[in-house]
Amino acid sequence: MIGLDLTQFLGRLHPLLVHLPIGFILLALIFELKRFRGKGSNFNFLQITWFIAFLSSLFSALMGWLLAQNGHYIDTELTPHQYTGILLVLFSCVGWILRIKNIRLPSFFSQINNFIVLVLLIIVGHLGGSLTHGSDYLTKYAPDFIKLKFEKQKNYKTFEELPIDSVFVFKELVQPLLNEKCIACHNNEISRGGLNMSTVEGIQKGGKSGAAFTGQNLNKSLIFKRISYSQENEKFMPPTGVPFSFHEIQLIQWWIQEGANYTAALSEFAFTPYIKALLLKQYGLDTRAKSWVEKVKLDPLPDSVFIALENANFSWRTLSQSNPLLDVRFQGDKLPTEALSLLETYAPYITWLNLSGCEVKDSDLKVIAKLKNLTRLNLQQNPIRARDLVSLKTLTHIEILNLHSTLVNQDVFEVLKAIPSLKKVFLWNTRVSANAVLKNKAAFPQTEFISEL
Amino acid sequence: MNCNHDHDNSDYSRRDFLTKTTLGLGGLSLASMLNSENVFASNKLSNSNSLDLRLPHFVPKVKRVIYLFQSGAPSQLDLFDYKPTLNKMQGQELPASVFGEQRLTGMTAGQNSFPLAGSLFNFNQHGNSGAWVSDLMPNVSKISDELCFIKSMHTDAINHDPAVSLLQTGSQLPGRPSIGSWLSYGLGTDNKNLPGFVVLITKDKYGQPLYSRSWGNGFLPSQHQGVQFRSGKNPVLYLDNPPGVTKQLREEQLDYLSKMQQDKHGDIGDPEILSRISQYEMAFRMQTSVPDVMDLSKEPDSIFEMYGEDSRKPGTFAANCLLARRLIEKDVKFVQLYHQGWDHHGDLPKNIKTQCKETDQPTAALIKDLKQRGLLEDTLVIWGGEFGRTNYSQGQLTETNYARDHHPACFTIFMAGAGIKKGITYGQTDEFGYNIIENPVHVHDFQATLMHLMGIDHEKFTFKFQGRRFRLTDVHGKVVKDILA
Repeated sequence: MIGLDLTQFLGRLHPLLVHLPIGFILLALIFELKRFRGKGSNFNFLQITWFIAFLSSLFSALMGWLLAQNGHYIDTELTPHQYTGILLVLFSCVGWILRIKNIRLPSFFSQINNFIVLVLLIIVGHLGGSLTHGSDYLTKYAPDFIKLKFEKQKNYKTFEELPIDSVFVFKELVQPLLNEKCIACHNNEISRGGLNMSTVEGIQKGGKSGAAFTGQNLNKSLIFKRISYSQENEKFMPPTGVPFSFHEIQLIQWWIQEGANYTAALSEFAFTPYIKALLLKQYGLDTRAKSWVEKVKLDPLPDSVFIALENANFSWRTLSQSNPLLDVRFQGDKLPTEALSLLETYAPYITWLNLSGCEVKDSDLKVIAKLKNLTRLNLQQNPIRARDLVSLKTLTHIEILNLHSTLVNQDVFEVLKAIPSLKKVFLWNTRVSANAVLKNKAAFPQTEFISEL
Repeated sequence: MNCNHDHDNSDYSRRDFLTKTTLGLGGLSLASMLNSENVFASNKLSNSNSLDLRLPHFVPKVKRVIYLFQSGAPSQLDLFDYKPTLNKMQGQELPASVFGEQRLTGMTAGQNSFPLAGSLFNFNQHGNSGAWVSDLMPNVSKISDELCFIKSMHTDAINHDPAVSLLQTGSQLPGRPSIGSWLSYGLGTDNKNLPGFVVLITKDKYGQPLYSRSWGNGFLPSQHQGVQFRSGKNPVLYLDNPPGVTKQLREEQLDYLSKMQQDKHGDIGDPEILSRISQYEMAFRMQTSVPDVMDLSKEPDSIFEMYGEDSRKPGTFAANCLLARRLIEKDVKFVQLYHQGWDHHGDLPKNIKTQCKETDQPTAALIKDLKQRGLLEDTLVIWGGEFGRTNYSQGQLTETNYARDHHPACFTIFMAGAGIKKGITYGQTDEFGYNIIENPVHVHDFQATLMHLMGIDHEKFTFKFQGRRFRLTDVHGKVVKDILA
């Protein structure tokens, strides 16, 4: 390793040494300006300045080449600096040649050369600076109006409207992180350490030192180990650039612990509270089981609707300040047809409806069946029979149906088979016996029937 | 009484004017741009207050609450918090390491000895959940799979009134609004013919006194105070018309009174006048709605049997439980029952039996009745006192008798209904039943959780009074997420 140490020792002089050619090139360029040139007496001086500029740039380029051998730089960022650096050395050499006494070319040539050298100097210097200090070095503390122009905001993709069974954990959450941080040095062309991360197969194959990821085994997941080392550690990855953030490491750790599955959707994973919060905050992925009322998105109703509801003897309430769905109860003893048609007008908004004890009839249920977002329906204490409920099968989101103290009998089970979304049905004080409930329970694995207690 | 509005002869004070014109008018014009139909319409709506406050903050799990308050503090060690160690160490001194720095009341601070007293009652595990309940509560034990026990409640107060105040208002000092008032103020009432907050007190019970400020509105508008419904001929005092005054006459009288009050409000702008008008109007509507809801004659015998024979006697805990169900059916938001007599500083074994006989069956019946009617889907039932009782005997410990002093460091409550896990026991006390060793729940945490279940973020729901924004939980309280379903 002595050889490598020596190259690294010299290589690391590169950032130090580069300031020398910068100074001399600038000095040469300044004296190239006409006003500083006398009647040729400074000619020799310019020649010497250019020569030193060329020589020092050549040396620092050599040091740079040595430094690049350590492999810690990302090729896509390194190559431009390398080539422009070499060009700069060449053109400063040209500058020197043009000022050697016995070569006399029109001043036009040297003017072009000066311009090229100046442009190259700026480009090489900036690229080198970005390599050493990071690409956001200049803009990090700049005033906002500058910063916003240059800095690209770190944006995690958001999945807000997507159901969690169509978000693929590796492809959409883990792989983008690897692409951002690792793929520059681990791809089809350059695969450092024998690791090619541009394809899933490559990642599964792993590198020379071992497997990239091993499900449920963090110790045998080299990528996880290397990205979670101390940054001082030689083996820390990525060697340059921004390291993985705490959240990103947590996400990868969770994915490994859950089995490092490359194809599974988010819905197949188990979550810790931390991961749940992380997914929600960074990706807008809500992994909490959502009820239908939280999924429906509607515009708020104007107050005139509420006034109309109150005039029709309904009490009402929006579910929350941000959820305009309605919880409605009829407050009278007898439900008039007009009142129901009012509800029909705002059908998508009605989600909890209480019509207890107000003489609801068969024909009313046909209107209720049009309230497509209904999730809770209270029909207790009404003269309703089982067969009247047939029309409710259009209610695909209904979860709670209260039928206590109605006239339903055991035919109700046959009817309710058409409404699989039901979670609870209340049958106390009806013609359905406790025995009938017991008998039919097996046919409704998702539904709980509550009768005599 | 609302000190923010001390005005003279104008609708707006100078301060109000400045506030309203800097932000208020801007907001108003914004509102009219966003909703050009009618900016002021919300004033006509029954829910206007909750609309203005933008409540609830999120979709509520619980729409109504029945709080069965066991005043005097029942002994958790004889009912739910089973500690066989106390029986094994019967009569031995409470170890100093367990005692720690616990504050004592004046009643036992002078005792030379603190002999541990095991419960005289048998404990068994019940239901699929295996909840420990003593033989004193045979009916409650049967429904233990519906219940969520919190064995790690603790409070700051060591005496009854401050402890009740803390539990009901969030502060040991009197004067803050009670939970029911906060909810009535924040969420309004769903039945415009009945108050949003009703209080029922078991008749002819003695012990620690109950003060009406426990259901008071504090600094909130006064129509949000709890209304006590009494047993007997006049459930709400002074609600009926005096002899010789007809309904029509009363209506005309109230209409005219309302006009006079409107005029007065125009003069001095005190919002409490508006509260008064709304209370008169509510009272008038209650003249028909209250007799209807209090009339138990249509309840079938089976229901009376379920709640126990006591339920036929107006004013008993059982009858009040039955009434609570009827009020909940009518969408009253918060029904609070008070049952006194749990303060067993003497003859605990004998006295606790009486208390349990009065409350066990009706409590279980209420929960079952709510469940079979589907009401438990959006109603929460809470059972509990203001603090716990000591594991050592106050006064002399004999083989058949002991007593227990106040113990704020741990007590047990249970809940049933919407939004919380069924059949669980949360929190744990040490083997002496003296200190909490797992998941402590402070009174403010309990209140924060209750608000959360009602769809309210307890940190955002405030009322400005005397220059400060007040909350039910003051500056404390954390929602106990582990018990949420």
